[in-house]
Amino acid sequence: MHKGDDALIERCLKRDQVAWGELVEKYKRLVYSIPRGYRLPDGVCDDIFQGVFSLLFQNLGGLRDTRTLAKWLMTTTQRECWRAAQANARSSSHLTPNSPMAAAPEEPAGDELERWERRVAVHQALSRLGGPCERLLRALFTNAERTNYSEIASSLGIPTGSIGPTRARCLAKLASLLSEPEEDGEGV
Amino acid sequence: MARGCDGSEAGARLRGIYRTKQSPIFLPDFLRSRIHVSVCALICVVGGWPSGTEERVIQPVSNEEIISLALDEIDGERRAEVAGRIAASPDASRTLAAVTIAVQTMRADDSISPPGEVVQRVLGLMRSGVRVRTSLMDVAGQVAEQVREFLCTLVRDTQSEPALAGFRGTTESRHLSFECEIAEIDVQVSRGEGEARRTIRGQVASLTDDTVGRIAWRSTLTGAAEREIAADESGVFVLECPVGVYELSARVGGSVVRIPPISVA
Repeated sequence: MHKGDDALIERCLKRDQVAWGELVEKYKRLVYSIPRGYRLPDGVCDDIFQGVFSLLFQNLGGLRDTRTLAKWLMTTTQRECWRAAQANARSSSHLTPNSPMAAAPEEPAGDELERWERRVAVHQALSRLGGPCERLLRALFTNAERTNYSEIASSLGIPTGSIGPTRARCLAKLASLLSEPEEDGEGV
Repeated sequence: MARGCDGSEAGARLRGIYRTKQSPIFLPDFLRSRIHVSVCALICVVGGWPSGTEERVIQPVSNEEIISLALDEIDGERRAEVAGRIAASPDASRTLAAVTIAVQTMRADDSISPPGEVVQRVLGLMRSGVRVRTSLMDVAGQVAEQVREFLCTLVRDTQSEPALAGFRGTTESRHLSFECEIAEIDVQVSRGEGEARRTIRGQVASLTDDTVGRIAWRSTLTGAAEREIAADESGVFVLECPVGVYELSARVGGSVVRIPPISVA
């Protein structure tokens, strides 16, 4: 569950474009990663992503319990993946009998939901940090291909020697935001 | 020799003090060693560590120390010493826990961000409703501000209904029904000519004595101009379109009715 979803949805229902943008930003990775996880073609992943958010848009007013929004999105996305895979089953090879998409989707497991909620919270906190802090932490910890300090320093335009202290300061701020998610972050 | 003069106790205490940013004597590296020797010598001269300063032994924990511990970058006695000081501080313990979870989450994160243009299309869902209302109001001429708008709500979607046993797959069409105060709108989606095209059959039925006027259909994803749909006197229409997300608006008497965007897949 995420603080702020109630208020965001309320603002979306008043056709607040900024709120809709925040909601999409908050959950875009969650929705897009599910069809990608099933190795569906790029075009199908794009369609599913758009379709799920369209359904969300249509159903915003009917969401009874906004605390379960992440769960609703996961279930709906999995259902759309399954539907897309079924529709293309005759003409494609990405659906096999042992494929996870061969069976109708079930509700997401509690630990899977919890894992996604942690990810959403961390990405949201990183976005709130913004600026050099966000760029540095993403480069250091979310980009497995680029762990070389000098390369990161070069790409961010900062001295290699400042990565350590900056990293400590940024992680401390990230931790602070995660502890108090309703507070505004600030750049470095 | 006085207590601490060999660099063990006094030296350790001093290092603990100027190691941390919270210390009033946070020092850069090049000054630290010189001053350390000098101050240690001074403590020897005065006969030991001054009394009444025992509370300084437990030093505040710096962010660098917390991060180093969370990232498993220190070991041995130093690790135990830092861990001990963190354990003694509820704030530091909370920070350590949050940093550990954040780092683990980021390192294990294999989620993928969607392409920017796809996100933009989704962001356009809300803006698209404003555009439809404007263009249909233009049809109403100079009294646009007087046109009432009704947003119909979805009351039935066969796609979200459980299939009857033995009947799954007997039809590939999807039926959606929308209702509002002055109209009912039915939309049936079925496969069209070609894999990526769909046929839309529908009806806009007035619930009042007003007649159904212009009906418009528009893709919310491409942002294309709305397309006027030819309908018979009962408001029945047929059209073909590529898969996508669409919305429909219609004039009913002096009002405009519309449905939320629907996914035509």
